[in-house]
Amino acid sequence: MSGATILEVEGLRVATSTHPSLELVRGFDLHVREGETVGLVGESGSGKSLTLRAICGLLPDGVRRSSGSAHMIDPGGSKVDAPTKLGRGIAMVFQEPMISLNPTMRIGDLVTIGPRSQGLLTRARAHERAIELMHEVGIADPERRSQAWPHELSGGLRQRVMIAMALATEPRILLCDEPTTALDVSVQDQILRLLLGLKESRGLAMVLVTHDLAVVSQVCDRIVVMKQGQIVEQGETDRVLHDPTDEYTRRLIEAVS
Amino acid sequence: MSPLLSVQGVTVQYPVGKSGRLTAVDDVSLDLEAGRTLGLVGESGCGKSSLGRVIAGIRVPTAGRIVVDNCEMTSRRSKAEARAIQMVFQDPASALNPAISIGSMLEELVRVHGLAPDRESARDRAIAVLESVELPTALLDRRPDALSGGQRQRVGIARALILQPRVIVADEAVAALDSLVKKSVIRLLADVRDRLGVAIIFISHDLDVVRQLCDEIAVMYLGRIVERRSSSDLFDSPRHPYSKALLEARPHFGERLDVASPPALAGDPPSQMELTTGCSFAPRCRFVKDECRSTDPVEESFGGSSTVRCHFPLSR
Amino acid sequence: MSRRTRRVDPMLATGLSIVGLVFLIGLLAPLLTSHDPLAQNVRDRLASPSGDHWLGTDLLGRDVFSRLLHGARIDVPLAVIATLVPAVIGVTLGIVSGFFGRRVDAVVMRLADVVQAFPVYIFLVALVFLLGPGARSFVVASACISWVGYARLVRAEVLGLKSRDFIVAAQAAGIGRRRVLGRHLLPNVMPQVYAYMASDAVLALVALASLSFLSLGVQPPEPEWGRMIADGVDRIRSEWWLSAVPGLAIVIVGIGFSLVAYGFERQAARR
Repeated sequence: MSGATILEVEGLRVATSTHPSLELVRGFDLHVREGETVGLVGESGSGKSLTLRAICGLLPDGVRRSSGSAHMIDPGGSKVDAPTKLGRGIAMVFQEPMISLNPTMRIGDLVTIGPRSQGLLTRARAHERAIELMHEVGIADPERRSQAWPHELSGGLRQRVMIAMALATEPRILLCDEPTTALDVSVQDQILRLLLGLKESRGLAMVLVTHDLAVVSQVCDRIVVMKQGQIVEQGETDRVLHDPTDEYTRRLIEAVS
Repeated sequence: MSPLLSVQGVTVQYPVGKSGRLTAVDDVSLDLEAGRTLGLVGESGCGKSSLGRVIAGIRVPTAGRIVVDNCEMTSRRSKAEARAIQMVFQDPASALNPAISIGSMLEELVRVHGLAPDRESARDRAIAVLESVELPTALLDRRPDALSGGQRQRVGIARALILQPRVIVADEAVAALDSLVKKSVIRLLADVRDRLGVAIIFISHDLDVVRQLCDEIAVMYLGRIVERRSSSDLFDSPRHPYSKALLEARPHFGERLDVASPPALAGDPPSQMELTTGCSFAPRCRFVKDECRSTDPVEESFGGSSTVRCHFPLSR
Repeated sequence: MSRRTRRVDPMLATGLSIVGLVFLIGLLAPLLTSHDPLAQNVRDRLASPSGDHWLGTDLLGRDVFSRLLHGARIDVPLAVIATLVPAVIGVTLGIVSGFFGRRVDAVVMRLADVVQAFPVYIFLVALVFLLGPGARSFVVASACISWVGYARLVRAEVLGLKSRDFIVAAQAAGIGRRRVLGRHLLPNVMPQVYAYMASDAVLALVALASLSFLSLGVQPPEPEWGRMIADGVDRIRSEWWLSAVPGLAIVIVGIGFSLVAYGFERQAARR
């Protein structure tokens, strides 16, 4: 962890398109440093998922970023609007691999679809790269698996494929929206270890959205607690979880311990 | 004292394709006393939901029987039998009829079972049960879409309670709720158990939640109960390797994950179609020995209702 | 927690107003005009619109305006009836088929396939021909043909709803199947059915007008709009309003029904 900031979010606000006064995220600030894992927690309706999507420009219909900014900072120091870096520095991992993977494409093709669509890989090299990536995310027997269809895989394997897809674009930061919520606990354990391992092997930074405080305490360096679109507390994970300053945070912790 | 609920030799199988068969529940038996809570835990494919549905009378088992208060339940439950065992469902969004008000739903149940002679008393009962789940009476005239997830779940519990069941099967009843709401609903279930002496079977994938509510826990794997212990004993000293793996795999609050150590349980939850010889857990077991692969372990009991199904149960 | 305001969709309100207004006009037709729609006056035929005959007279000297208004008493109610009857049949069969499945489902669906194998208008014309032309035959023929759409729609909905927890819960709580079908399943299916009915009404209206145009529907001298169009066809170059005005009436009512259908859909979508 070099300490250089790579993602800078300032004053981010998200509102509905039809009623701009109805704000779902009200002023979100975050700086993520290289190799850092930040946990974004909150209950349903806290705006944590929307915040993540607003950062990389993947908001659903009817909702838009109303003000604020999200920038990726190059090693050279120049700032680039984050959504344009999607697939070139930022990658996203979603919650439900069942619906996030194109069912009409084989796994081997899916993994490298990002760089291939950007013209960065030849077909020959793409297949090699797919195998490498599948190996990196712990998929056994990648040659055989690359021919499989998404529906033939278990939830855990599909999530690994999603992570491989994200890695294919050589990101510096991964945005993960509840990546293990829909998985069995033993599979969650495997995936979390995988993500932590990638952090170490690739120096990958991560923003992990989850409602599960225990997961955050296991995996994240820093934690940001959200409630109704606003940040109520943030800081180093250990400090916040042992000595929360905010009442809401305290109640969340009590519910888990 | 004979148990309130006795599940005997229940098997649930589904035909798959032309000649295949999927065994969701494999010859499971268990007993439960009145006023006790049993947690049923396991990962996808372990059969806990299928078993729960058989107990609640929603699914007809391929074999086996359910006995309540020494009376065997018929496979197509009669109204009186339906009253004895009720279910609370997982998804607050689909568990309630969106087209009718809460009050109408509750009153209908009362009237169908002849528990009240007229509309007045039916409504009174509905009011009483809503109060028992700590919901305001005003909700009687509202439709489900006007309620929050936590409130809907409480209504689901009220629906189960209004027929005065002896047993409640809660199928992932708190899984879809936020953590703060979860706690209050669990507290409510505990309260119901204490006040009414209802036996509760609590199906969940979340061991920590189960611990808060249940006296005993039964761990299921591939359609079988591999261990049954009191909650505290299970957490202290699990005897089945799978139980131990589950306890280790779950995220521990306040502890950093050590990437250097291997995952608690490798591989994926297995398919229920491939029947293996020997112990079903052998392919993934850390402590596997030759005997495990060749012979199927039997369920052995030790001390009260504790059981374990393993050739080499772990000791302290 | 949704705080849904129970506002009626404006399209729905507009559509209902249009249809309602036309229906009302039809109801009050005898009061709104002094001319008898059937009274012939051959000497005064094909008169241009004037103070006495607002829309002139037709080939047999009958007052066109009066016939137009009285036509509303025929077309609108008949379109509605020809929609309701197949709806009741189709919804019932659809629920039973979807819920009970297996043999019942197989029988109903095969029957539906047979009916749908025939092109609608040809089937309609053939049936009416067989039964003898007239309003009653039209309703019977519609019933035999249009039920299929409802049945398939409802069946699909029921298949989806069948496994939802609240249906399972109702059965597990000892509620009998008939109650489950009527009190729990049906109310959740109806919103879609209403939308379908409204668009079906447009088709029924046009079918009725078409059949009458072909002399197979409502028989002369009744002032049905489709029949009026047919009567005026030969004079379209000179007395064009004889066909155009009843045609416009059909379009207006059709728009009304369509708005109702659209409104129902939007309302259902907002839930």
